Amino acid sequence: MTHCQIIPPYLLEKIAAEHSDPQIVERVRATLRIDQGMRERRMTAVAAPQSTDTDFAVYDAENGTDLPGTLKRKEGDPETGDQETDEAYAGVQEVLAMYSEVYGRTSFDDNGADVLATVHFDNAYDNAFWNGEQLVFGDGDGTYFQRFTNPVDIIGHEFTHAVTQYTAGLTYQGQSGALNESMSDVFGISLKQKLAGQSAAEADWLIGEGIFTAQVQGVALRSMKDPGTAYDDPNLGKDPQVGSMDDYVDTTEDNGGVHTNSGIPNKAFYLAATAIGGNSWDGAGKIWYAALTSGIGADTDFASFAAATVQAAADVSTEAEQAVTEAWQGVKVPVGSTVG
Amino acid sequence: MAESGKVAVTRTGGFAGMRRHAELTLGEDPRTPEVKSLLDRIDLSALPSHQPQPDRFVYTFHVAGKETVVGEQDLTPELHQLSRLLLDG
Repeated sequence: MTHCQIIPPYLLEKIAAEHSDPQIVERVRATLRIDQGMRERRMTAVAAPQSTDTDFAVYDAENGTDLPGTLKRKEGDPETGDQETDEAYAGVQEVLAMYSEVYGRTSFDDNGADVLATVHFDNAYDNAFWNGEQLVFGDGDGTYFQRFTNPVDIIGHEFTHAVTQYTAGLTYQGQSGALNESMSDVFGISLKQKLAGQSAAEADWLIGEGIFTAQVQGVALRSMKDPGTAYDDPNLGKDPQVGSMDDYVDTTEDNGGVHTNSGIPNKAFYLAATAIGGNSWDGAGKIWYAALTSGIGADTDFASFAAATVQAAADVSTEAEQAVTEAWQGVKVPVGSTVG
Repeated sequence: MAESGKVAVTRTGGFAGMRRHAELTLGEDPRTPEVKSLLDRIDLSALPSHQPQPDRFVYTFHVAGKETVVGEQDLTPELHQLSRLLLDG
């Protein structure tokens, strides 16, 4: 069987930066140069009328693991009656609309790429992910987890992994990996709050609310407002997230604790959004989006990203700059310059 | 491969970021024959280097005193079965 593998630029960058064999490093660098050239030519090419029509479709893996599975509903088709299919359809439609209306972005690549989502992946699968090419959602085990298409912020979260891949390409390891995770929570929560019509002050700031069955002692998977408090259950354990650099977890598990330490930039976003006021997706969200798309590198750490958000906020107002600076200080991430 | 000793698997990551761990001792655990049969067909040194994908599970296997990190997307059917046998069994 022919197997086509696409290695994203961020992985190549990582190999180039970290591999010990100079011959491999040079080969990877050559690939990156070719890749960059292709991207520049593509940018020139798309300077012509940009595609504004993004097609999307939902597929069904029918509890197997072959992707994308069987086509169930493409854009414009009526509801299917299958809950997961219709939730994924609505969620993808809504996240595309948010990125277009609020951030002026046309699909995840900003060039109208088609969006594929697969539901009913695997059997009793407690997860959702972006595999570099498409969105995938599991049904949950039914004992602790319900379907992963239910909380719309999960759909926004997975779609944002695609946006990050096509922008900063944040390496999914350590601090850049935790930032990658946090970007997905930031725009996932923005989608949730926008659809609920809730301001930053009104919102609950919970990620994955409604994913647990009634028997789990917990309200959600994560709390951006108060990381580490979303659940505490005899079977599932306690929410391990941290919300301050003082508690940063050094670990080799979960690609360097990307789902644990993401609580730190998550809380910084919550602090900034509530200090700026109004709607998160509009105020703080636009600042975070500007920072993500400002040309930051794949290995950006918390402090460098904080600096990028402060810079983006300074372009908005002195008050926004002050609010964002204090938000990062609130989670003990050093911010380069103090606002005078 | 391993005739005795500890076999362990830890699953981390995934959207939920929850950690699950299970281990058994070969020779003492009733699942020993099936685990040994799987281990005979598993070559942990032949796996591709770990290249993360967002929100995929990450598995760490401890076999014969050696630790190997494998992305969910790189699990062979035998490793998948081994992880299920330990984590769900």
